[in-house]
Amino acid sequence: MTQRVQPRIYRFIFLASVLGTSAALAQQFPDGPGKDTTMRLCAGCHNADIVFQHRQGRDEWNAEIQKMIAAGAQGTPAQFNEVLTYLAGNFAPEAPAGGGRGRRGGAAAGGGRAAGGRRGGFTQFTRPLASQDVLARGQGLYETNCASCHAPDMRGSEKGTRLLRSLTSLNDQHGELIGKAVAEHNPKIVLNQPDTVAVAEYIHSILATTGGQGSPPGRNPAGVKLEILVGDAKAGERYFDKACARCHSAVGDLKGFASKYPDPRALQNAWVGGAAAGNPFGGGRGGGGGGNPVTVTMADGSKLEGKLVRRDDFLVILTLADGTRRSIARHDGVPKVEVKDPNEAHKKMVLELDDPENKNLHDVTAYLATLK
Amino acid sequence: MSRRFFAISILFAPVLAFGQGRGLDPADTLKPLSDQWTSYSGDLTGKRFSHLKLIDKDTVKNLSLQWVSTNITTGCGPAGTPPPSEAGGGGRNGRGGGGGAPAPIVVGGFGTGEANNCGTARLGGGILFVDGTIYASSPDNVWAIDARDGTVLWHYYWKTRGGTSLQTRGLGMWKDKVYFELHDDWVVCLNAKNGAEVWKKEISSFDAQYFSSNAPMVLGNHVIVGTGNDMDAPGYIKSFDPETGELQWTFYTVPMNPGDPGVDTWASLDAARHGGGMTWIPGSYDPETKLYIFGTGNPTPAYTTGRGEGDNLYTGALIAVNVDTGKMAWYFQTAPHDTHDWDSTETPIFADMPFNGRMRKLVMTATRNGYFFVLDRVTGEHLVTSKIGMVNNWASGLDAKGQPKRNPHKDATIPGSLVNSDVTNYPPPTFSPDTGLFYVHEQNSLRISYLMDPDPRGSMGLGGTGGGANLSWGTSIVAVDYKTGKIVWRKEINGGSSGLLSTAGGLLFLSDGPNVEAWDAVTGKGLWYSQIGGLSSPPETFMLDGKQHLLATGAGALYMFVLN
Repeated sequence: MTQRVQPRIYRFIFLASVLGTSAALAQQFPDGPGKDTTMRLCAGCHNADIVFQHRQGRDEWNAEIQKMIAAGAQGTPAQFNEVLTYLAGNFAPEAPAGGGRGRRGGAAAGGGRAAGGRRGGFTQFTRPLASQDVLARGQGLYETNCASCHAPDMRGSEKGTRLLRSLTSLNDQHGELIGKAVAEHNPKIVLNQPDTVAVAEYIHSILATTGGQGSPPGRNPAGVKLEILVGDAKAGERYFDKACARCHSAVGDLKGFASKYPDPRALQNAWVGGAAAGNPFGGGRGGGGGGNPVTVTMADGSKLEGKLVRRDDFLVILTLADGTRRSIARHDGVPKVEVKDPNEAHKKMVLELDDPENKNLHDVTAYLATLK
Repeated sequence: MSRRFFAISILFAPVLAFGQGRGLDPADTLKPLSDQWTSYSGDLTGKRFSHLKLIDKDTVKNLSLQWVSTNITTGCGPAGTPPPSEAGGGGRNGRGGGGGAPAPIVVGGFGTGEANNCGTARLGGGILFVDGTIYASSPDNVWAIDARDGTVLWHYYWKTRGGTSLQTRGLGMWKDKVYFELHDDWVVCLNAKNGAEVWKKEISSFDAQYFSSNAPMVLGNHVIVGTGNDMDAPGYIKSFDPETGELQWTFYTVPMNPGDPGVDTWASLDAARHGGGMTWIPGSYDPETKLYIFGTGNPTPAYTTGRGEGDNLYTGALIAVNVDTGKMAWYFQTAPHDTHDWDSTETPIFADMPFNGRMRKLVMTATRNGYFFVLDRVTGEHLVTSKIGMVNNWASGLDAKGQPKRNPHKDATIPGSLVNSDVTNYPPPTFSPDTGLFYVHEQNSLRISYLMDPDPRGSMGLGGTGGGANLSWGTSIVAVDYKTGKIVWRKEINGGSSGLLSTAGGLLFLSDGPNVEAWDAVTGKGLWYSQIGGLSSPPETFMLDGKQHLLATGAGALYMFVLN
């Protein structure tokens, strides 16, 4: 379930004034470049906890920001880049699960601080972890007695349920529920009371490493290569020549494109997404978005050109070439406002390219990946 | 009791003194939306169509600001009072009110106060207006506010244990009691006069990472609550006695026991019991059939394998539950085997309208996956499905039941699939019986969806994927003909929607960028605006002292407009 999309973020200045007094919220975030912009663009709708519960890589943060933009978050590409830098830098994935050790050091250093140090998180993230000795013992006992069915990473197998999401694990405090499950376990497991508690504490230390919104520890525990380049480069070249070559050229603006984006996923995101990555495909926000070129035709036929700030049925606001801001009242559609979306041709191309099996997408990506 | 005796007993009953007013007569909750705003959607039909028409296409230009209450801030710390540095400016409980001593704070909850988010109130969801008093909420906070001048009468503050704290859907009310869900999984009944706790009950397990933000719905002798969870837990609604808080029944949205209906649509009973189907937006209620109809959220894991190939009942569905028995009467899946977190919880709308030559009791919903549905709300019979969204490409068509058919190639895949994002979301739509149009916001964007966790056992919760690229065609309001599902007009707005309101005055109220605006409900033409800085919940309207008012909500602020 996702409630996190909180649209109608359209009040920079207003928010800035609100946040100016909301020092407590800002104090929960680490200092660093981009913090102010992040507070300004995001904190009007989001609390600290939603951020603290997301620890993820740059791509994932970028995707999150793109989702927010789709939902109406407002800001310039430069501002969103600042946000991305801040979030990716300060909320990167933590050390891989591997027994909750990544957190344990922090817990000890914090003198019994909460497991994840996440203020106000769910119990599994705030509860104190057991001592290193107990956890090490618990891990050994888990691996000997439990892992063959419930899996070393606790995701479960055909023989045993997924302990990471088991209500028994989650509701257990210090072994009383897990102990009961062990006592009733079929096949029979023989563990004495302190050992049961050690296993329970070990399970809690792993639960403390789950990510935001229920995502399990470890991005790709199967170790499968995440192959992006599955398309047919030849077919992609043919498609490119037909659909893209009117505006783009492999020896012109796209020369060395694959060297600029050595990661195929980043390359695919760049060519499909356009401007966000500052690549030759141009960009700009969709529809009547602010920042797009606008022509305003006054009642007497005279025209003003500039960059759109905002338009509705009552006002049009634009910035002229010399930087002057103009606001003009509108009535019954006068003055006429025509907004040009610089990304329009590109977006049209992407819509035309879309097919039910993503074949053209993958083919063009495979082709562009050859433009080293 | 004879009617005459009843009349006399009312006459001689001691006058109950409330903060002000006499509380809410439960019979009023069944009336069509007009003078008061008594539940999440104003009335129980979910229409958000007010029968008031003093404010109309001609008079709306005279709508003027009566009062503003800014700087409404949430409780902080153990006692609820903010640290001195936070109190600067207008003080804790709003500025612009009629003055007097600060409102009393009633403190509840099981936390220490450290986990509360101090600062600007995130006012949202159903803000009630009953008998001269506004009841508004932000996560962990409730305020009673004098509707004539914005003065806070009391403030209830819950010291949370933490967890996921998103916006709240607001409040419910019955007689002299106000009901509110806390994100750390309690429902509290407050005395409407002073904010004192009357009873409180645990809804779900905080340890299991549930979070509860729904607005309690008071339906006859039942307080219905829902909950949320991203940790692969089962969804459900619960019904409590409004007077005592006694649990009446629990209805699970996924199979919980061997042999339960729908269990064969899951990989296993264990998968079903971790299958999600959360209940975080209120439904609507038909007192004639006693059916409460609500939408259920996505299955879990949301994006990856691990649930089998079946439909995953009853996630992504409209469900009709009899409130007296807690048993399901019918269901209709709007997102069978959802693989996109389509989370079909949007409030359904009830209307009695002509359809194919005869009057039908209809239920309509526009779901996040970009489909609009019309059903018979008594039987669940399917009548209309249509597609909204300019770039809506995730499905390959409709099946024989009128349900969208998922195209598996548009699931999150390792090399990426080009697919639309959420077409609409929780900000509520409105339906005007006068225009026959269903108004909803439509988000238009495409992105690439990647599978990042290819573990054959599946991921958990909302984990396992990543997004890339984003092409936006902006957000629009669309007006949909309920008979055909066809879009009659589409008009782009600035930014996102905060929810809609339509009126018998021929108006559609909405947020557009920094404005609250009134549009002609037939044509979509803008008629009035006020630039108050963007709305945080849908506009509401009601009568006070013989005048029609419009309430708009911003960050920590209420704006009361009136037609003089």
